[in-house]
Amino acid sequence: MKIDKKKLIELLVDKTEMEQTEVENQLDQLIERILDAANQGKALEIKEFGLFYFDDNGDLKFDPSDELSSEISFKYAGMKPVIIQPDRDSTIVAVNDKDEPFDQDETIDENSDDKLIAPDEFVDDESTPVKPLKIELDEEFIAAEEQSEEDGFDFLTELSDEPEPSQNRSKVKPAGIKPRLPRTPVRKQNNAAIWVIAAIIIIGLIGIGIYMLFFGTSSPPQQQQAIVTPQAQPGTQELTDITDDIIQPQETTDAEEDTEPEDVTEPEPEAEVQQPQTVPQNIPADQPLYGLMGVTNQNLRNSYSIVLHSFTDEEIATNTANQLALEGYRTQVTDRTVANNTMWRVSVGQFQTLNEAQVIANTLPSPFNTQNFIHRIE
Amino acid sequence: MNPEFIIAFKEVLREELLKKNSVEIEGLGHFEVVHHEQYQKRYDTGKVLLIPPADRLQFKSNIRSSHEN
Repeated sequence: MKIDKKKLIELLVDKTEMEQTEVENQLDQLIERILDAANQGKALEIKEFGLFYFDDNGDLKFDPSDELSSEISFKYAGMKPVIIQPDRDSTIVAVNDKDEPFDQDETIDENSDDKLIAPDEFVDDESTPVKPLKIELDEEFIAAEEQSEEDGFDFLTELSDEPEPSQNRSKVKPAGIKPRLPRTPVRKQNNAAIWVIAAIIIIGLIGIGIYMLFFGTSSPPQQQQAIVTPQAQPGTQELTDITDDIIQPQETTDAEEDTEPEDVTEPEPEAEVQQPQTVPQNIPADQPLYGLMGVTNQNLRNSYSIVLHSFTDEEIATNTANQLALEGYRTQVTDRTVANNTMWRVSVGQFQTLNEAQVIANTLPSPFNTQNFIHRIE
Repeated sequence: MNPEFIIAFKEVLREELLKKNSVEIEGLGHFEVVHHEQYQKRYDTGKVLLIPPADRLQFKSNIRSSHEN
């Protein structure tokens, strides 16, 4: 819907209860002041709304305030770019190749230093193409992400500052053969410390052995009996409970051993494979681990999900998620707090990779096939 | 200028823009909310970023400083 000047004046009259002529005058005055200021090379700011100014080409521009931008893009507030594919590692190899002739006369320790230096130089090489990302981030998340982006920028600048010491390190390396000499005494000290620790451990073990020889009582046999015959002796319930707690992850294997008493060795690996599926009670046994439809597997971590709705009310989000669940979707409700505002996101599906989620997102019914985004559930 | 009018001006424009309505102010310009879908940004280094979607306020105006002068 388009609001023209006439409609805008009507809305302003309703809002202010001023007379129409007065509102028209005020609006004309406002436009006049904006243009006057801009023509004088100044920018006119309306607080919490934005900034009007003429750019270098003489065009009238408007920069919305952080508050207005965050409100307009509130649905997507807090979203950050996701790295689908990292930088190529070829640059690291190239750096090492350059250093190789330099290290020919040096020892293995020097080569290991090269491996440590390489990542810094790699970051240095990538600093120039990463800078546009900052500009992109500013455009994408103008207000709500401002703080975090500044942090990110600081991080990038810190990274861009880092190569200087790394370059120094690489330049200093020819003379760096000298510092190798004090390294060997340090290793000797470490060896001495290891010998002392080993001697203490051996003395301790001998002491324990002597203690066991002289003071070893009947308690170890009791434990052995409890472990060997956990069901036969009710008097040793405490011990069996303790052992059950310790062996809790293998409960399913014990249960299956009860049902198949003769198969002792084979059921164990099968039980380990089926264990993730048996934990959630409502998940059908034949349901695949990942997918769009089915019952949400709450135990899945580090999966991707397609966000269809964002609400400020948790109850509405939960109801929407329940409706989608009735339609057969795997649904999840997650919260996101940005600038003291909590958004409740309703997402569908659980996917192993981002690409899988994207492909499925494109197949969703309109308008969800275009109005969605993918986030990572951790 | 009347401060009450300025406050009302901000509120009315914000409300209409949040409803995805465009606002045309004759003599000033055209305000509109534009949705940007998520897209992949590729760098020469091989890095690929998924840029998330966003709604942005777009302002267009035919007014130029030379016109006023």
